[in-house]
Amino acid sequence: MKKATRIFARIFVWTMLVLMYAPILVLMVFSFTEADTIGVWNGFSFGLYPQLFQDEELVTVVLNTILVALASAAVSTVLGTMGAIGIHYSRRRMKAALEGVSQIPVMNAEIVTALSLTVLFVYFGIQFNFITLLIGHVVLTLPFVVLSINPKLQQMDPNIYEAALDLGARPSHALRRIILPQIMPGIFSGFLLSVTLSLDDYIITAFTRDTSFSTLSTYVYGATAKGALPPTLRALTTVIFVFALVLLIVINIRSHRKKEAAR
Amino acid sequence: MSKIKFTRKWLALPYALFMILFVVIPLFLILAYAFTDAEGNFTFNNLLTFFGNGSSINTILVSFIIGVANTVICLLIGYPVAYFLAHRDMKMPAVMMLLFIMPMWINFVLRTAASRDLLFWIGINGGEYPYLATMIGMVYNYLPFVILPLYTTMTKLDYSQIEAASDLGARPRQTFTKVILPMTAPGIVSAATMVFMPTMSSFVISDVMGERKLSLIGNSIQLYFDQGLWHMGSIVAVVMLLLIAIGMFATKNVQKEDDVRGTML
Amino acid sequence: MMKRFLSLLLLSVLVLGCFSACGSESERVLRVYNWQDYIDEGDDETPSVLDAWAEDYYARTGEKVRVQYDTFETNETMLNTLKTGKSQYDLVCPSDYVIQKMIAATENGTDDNLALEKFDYSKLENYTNYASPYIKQVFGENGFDGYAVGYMWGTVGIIYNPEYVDEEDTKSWEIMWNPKYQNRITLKDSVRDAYIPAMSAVYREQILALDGLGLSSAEYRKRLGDLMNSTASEDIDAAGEALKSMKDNIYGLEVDSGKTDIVAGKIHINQAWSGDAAYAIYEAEETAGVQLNFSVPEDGGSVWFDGWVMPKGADTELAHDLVNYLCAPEVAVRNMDYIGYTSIVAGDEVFDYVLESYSAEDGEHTVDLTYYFNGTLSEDYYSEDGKILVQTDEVGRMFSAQYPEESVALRGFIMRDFGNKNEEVLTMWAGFKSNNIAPEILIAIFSVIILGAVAVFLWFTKPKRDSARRRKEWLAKQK
Repeated sequence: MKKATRIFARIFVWTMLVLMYAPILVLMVFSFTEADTIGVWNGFSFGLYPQLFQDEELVTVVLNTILVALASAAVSTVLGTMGAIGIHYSRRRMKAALEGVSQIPVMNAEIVTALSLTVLFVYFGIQFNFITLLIGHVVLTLPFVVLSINPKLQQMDPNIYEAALDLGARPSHALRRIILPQIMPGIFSGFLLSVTLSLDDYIITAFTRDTSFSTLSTYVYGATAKGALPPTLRALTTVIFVFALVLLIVINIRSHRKKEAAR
Repeated sequence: MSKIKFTRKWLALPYALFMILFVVIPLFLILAYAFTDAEGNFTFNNLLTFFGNGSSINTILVSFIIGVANTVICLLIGYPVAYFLAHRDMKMPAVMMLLFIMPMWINFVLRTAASRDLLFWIGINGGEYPYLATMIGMVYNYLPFVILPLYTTMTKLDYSQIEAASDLGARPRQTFTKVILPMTAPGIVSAATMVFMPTMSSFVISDVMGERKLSLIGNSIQLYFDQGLWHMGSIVAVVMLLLIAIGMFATKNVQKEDDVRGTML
Repeated sequence: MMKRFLSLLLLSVLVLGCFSACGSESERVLRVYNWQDYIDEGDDETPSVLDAWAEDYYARTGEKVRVQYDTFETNETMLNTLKTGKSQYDLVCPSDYVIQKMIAATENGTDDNLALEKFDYSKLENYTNYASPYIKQVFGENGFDGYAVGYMWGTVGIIYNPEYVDEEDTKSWEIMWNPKYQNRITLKDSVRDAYIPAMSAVYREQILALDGLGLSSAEYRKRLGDLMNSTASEDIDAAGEALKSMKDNIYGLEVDSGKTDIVAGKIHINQAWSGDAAYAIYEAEETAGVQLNFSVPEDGGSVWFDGWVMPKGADTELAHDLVNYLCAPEVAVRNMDYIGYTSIVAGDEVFDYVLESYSAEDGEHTVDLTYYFNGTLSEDYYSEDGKILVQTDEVGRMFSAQYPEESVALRGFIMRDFGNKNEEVLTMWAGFKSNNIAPEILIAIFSVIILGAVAVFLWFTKPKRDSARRRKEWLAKQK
């Protein structure tokens, strides 16, 4: 790039970054003052943070959110890993059918997925509870687990598995010792992806939950209907952001080290 | 001992059952609801009511326009960002890319509400400018979904071709339109599908940003469902499904990048 | 790597296992489904009303009970929850027109999920003794007896900031269309509440003409109710048109944010339920030092009631006990003080609370609340001519939001269920909620987009078509 272009590129990218971060940064800055709304500064204070951790309802909501995310990601990962391996070794027509079905929740509008699940549960007279919510989240995340494992299966050398069988390994043993380790990175990123998707979800949660069970999304949505965001949520935003930042740094340092080690 | 020989394809059985039970059957139920009345008799009335009043056409057209506008704006911003990030001159591209994805780790509703409060503070309130505020909210939310697939495509660009073009005397604009743009077309298409359909069917952003003054297809489904008119809600959902199917058909010939959300990690 | 991952999996499964195990305690549970912010939820020192009831119940019977308390924001959300059988409840708190719908469903057997159990008044001593005679009369008139026991009541009106808004303008629902206040007004995002200003606009002349007919208040509220609840197809259409013409004048629609937005100064006029008005007026004065007023427009004054009902299959014994507890005047005062709404319960404690909050020795208004408290008070509260009077400066403000004057209360109409016209009204509502953009403009933008898309497509495929044409020409030449 020419020098002028390079300067322009820098400015453009950084401006966009600043704009992307503006709402979050503003919340984070105003989490250090106890004013009712952003834009009002009532003096520097850490007061919102103790308030956040004493707010029992909000703490329950955060724990609920994490619980749903971990549980649905666990179910999705197990089902999805089995599914991905099964699809990979299915015959052509079966494979095409299953891959097609996997695409539906990915392409479908989330509200249609949510509505269709609600209709299903109501039609069969099922009470809405934690399980229905879990199913909703598994529907949301399952295809992404399959999608992230698929490429690893395709890269795999099929001969190793055959060799293991020839050498007398039982199929289940070969599966565990040969296939699983090779696709493990895919499984792991599928799991993480599921967690992120589930944490972020509002629509499916709102439709498939039992009314007494709130997650962060439904809680915040209820709060937005009451006016500006309540102050404690500003503190929560900061906590989540710092947590995510630390997580990202740790992951990156580790993968960097691994690359170094591989060299 | 079991007589059936265990083969690996049987592992797909629970997956297949789950998908049939919770993905395929529900869609058929929606279809059934869309074409029945409260007593369960087959009817086209829902469809006729839906297309018979101007408000549905209005909602679909507005959703379409906002969807296109959001896609175009996101591409106009996201394309250069991805191009610059992927360019060899950019330092630490991976870190920069992560910085663009980071906001997605904050809860979606929280992010949207935060941008509403910020816009209100600087004077762009959803009451007076419902469409402007909603558009800003949409772009803010969907920009990462555009940058990601474009970035992935661009990191795979064959720079020797670009250099060859300029060596052979192509002006920068020609290089861009004849070489770079065609090479990144798959990324553009996959970015567009990640933005266009979700925009049309969203209802949280329009509700929160627009003070409930505007209505997209998602709002319409939500409204009918909330008021207990399930059969009407289902017909809107079926229309949405049809639009998605058309969209998939239109882009099916373009080779697509892996799903954006798949490249997020 | 794999080991750590598996242990992570196991952990989440364990957490899940605990969740289902933890939920299966065999404690007796009363499931209550109420409006958001609609009961005293206690603070650091005092337990919530529901906890206090559970303790009280334990003291009386020796049995431990737990209350599972869920909330909703609109009647429609609540109805949907019940209709889908999403969750099972013992006590629910719907509004008047929804109670009417549920009673109809019970008596006609049309929807099992909406069917109700009946109350036994002999187990509701507090209600029989302390409920306001006015409330009992209205409940009887509307056929709610047996199925519903009142909880809170009030009017639908306007909160306004007198610094920016003329008091004169607030006497009519026309204010919602007044360009003077453009983008400073919010409307409730509920078809039932929005129908009030809309029908007032449709029938304004007829409504104002009712005044000159010399009707008794019972006749007046019946005639007004017939006009305001009309669901004739042409009236629904007219209401839709009226609402559409309002849309560009208002700031937005809101579910629950009006009362905080008007305190924050974001808006100056807010269509509101009286209890939210009382809350907003109090908050504005306490936190921002701003004065807010409340007015019930005269061209379509509306009165509403929320009451407890027991869905079929409810634990009726516990439900009766809690409802009776909530009807005790001292508990009613706790709730009123906390949420700002007005309990249907009268009695000495409630009247003391009214005096304490609003009475002023040399207040400029004397308000007659006989219609409301008569028969529930001890003798010392009556004036010489047998009336129950309050002297106050708070008329037009919090006091009027909590206790409307007799003329407002007795002349106010009650919203009715739309019945089989429901779908038609909702279609009108969906039309209002869609976008206020002229179809010509939409079609013009749409065509431009399509033309643009075609142009881009042609431009992109031009090289291919060119080369195809050249190849054809070349082939033709070869022949």
